[in-house]
Amino acid sequence: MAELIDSSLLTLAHRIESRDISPVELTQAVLSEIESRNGELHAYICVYGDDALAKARTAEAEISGGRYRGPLHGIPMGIKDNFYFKDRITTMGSKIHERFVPDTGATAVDKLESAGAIFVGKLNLHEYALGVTTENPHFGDAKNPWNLTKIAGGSSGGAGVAIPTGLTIGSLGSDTSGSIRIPAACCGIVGLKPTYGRVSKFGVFPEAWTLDHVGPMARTVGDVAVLLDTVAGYDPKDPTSLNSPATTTYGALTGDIDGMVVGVNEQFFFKDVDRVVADVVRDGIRSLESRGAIIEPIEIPHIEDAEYAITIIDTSETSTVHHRALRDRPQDYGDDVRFLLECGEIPSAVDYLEAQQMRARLRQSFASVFDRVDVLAAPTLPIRTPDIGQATSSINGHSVDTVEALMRLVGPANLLGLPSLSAPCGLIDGMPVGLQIIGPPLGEQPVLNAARAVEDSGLFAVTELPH
Amino acid sequence: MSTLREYLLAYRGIDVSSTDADALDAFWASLRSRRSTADNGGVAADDIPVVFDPTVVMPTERGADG
Repeated sequence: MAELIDSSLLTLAHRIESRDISPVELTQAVLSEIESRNGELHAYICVYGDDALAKARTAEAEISGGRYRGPLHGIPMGIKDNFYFKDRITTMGSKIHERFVPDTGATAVDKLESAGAIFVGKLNLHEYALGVTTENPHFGDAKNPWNLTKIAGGSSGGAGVAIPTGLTIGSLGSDTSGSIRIPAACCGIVGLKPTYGRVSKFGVFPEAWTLDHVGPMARTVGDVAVLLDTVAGYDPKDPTSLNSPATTTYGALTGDIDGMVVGVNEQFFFKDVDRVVADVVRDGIRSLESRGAIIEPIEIPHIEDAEYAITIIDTSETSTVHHRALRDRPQDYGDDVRFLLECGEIPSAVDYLEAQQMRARLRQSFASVFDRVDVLAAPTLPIRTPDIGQATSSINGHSVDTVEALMRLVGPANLLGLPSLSAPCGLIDGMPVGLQIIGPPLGEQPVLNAARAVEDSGLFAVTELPH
Repeated sequence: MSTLREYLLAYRGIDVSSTDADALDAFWASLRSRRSTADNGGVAADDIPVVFDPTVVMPTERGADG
């Protein structure tokens, strides 16, 4: 049983295709692990046991009959509970939507289902995805499997917990200010926020619509590439969807980075970073150099405005989505989310539009950077993984706000819609450290190839996952 | 009483009486302090290539009222 759930998605897919294992056997193993560990970890909000097994039996019959659909066929998967499942309760991790039943499914979910994935349940998240710790007053705090006293990161914290423990074999997250990459870094997995509009957001509850993204989370870079290729592509139901072809990243995933120019920006991405975290990330960057990449120090004009601009835009858009509920039933939000929504009512229209103009100027800065480099490499987080409930963190002896620190280095990629991935590159005191790789618009392929090179370096062995 | 608290109640219809007024003031002050310039840096007003989607609202389908 442990052998099954300790495997990558692609390893399991090959075994299913060759009929070495069956979807029923694998789904039973995942459900059994959920049964034994979810009470402690709070990874899932709800579990579809009987339905998942029925779907697994159907998949088994299809595969036995020679109708194998591809690498997701028969793969059990949990999905963050802000993705709509048709006619199933979708809570957004909230009390206000605790009985919400959408009458349509999210496009990304429908694509996974068409590819043969078997949904075993809905994963925990920070309430409405409005936070980066997955401390959830309604459904329990997600616990980091590497150390149960630590946060899982968020908002896609349920996926962060469930992937390394085998409670799901890959997943999707949403990411508005780091919500895929923060839990990926905290929990030692790979998380990719693609280019804005690359994956449809239709049927995913909005947080801040000019910053929202959907992307894959999994154990390995190859798993993430396969998931991206399954869900990416134009969707007329999403007004922000890019009219670009579906991706084919897995087929081009070589890990060959000979001659790739990797930009390293000290002024923002290594400023106020825990020294030990920075050392581990620099080891990861050196591993790219040892595989043929060229490391290029770079300046990014106006990058210091990113944190201000994204905070104004994120809080303003979020509070627009929630304005009526905040006015009518504020007591039904958790304290931290209610406070955030109240703050988002403060900026003026001028503040918001000036922030958009700062964003436009930063987009020009990054465009000039990507004329010189193929990708940027940086820490995902400037701090070590905090404890649950820890309001402040220490960076080289000075105290910082934990939530602000968690979001600081991942925000620019949301503000500019750039593909950005976090891959584990080492451990500090038994906790994973994430290396962030950022690419130009539609540059998922070089981002994934650089991440594969880090993975191949062996700095973080996937066999070290917790049990 | 915080000016922000009064503003939110009078102009936004949001009662934040259960929220620490000092925390609201501190958030706003901290945010403003992170601006590197007093204005938008001279970006042209028509140079805002951002998608605005007015259709995004809180879903009101079955069960939304909890």
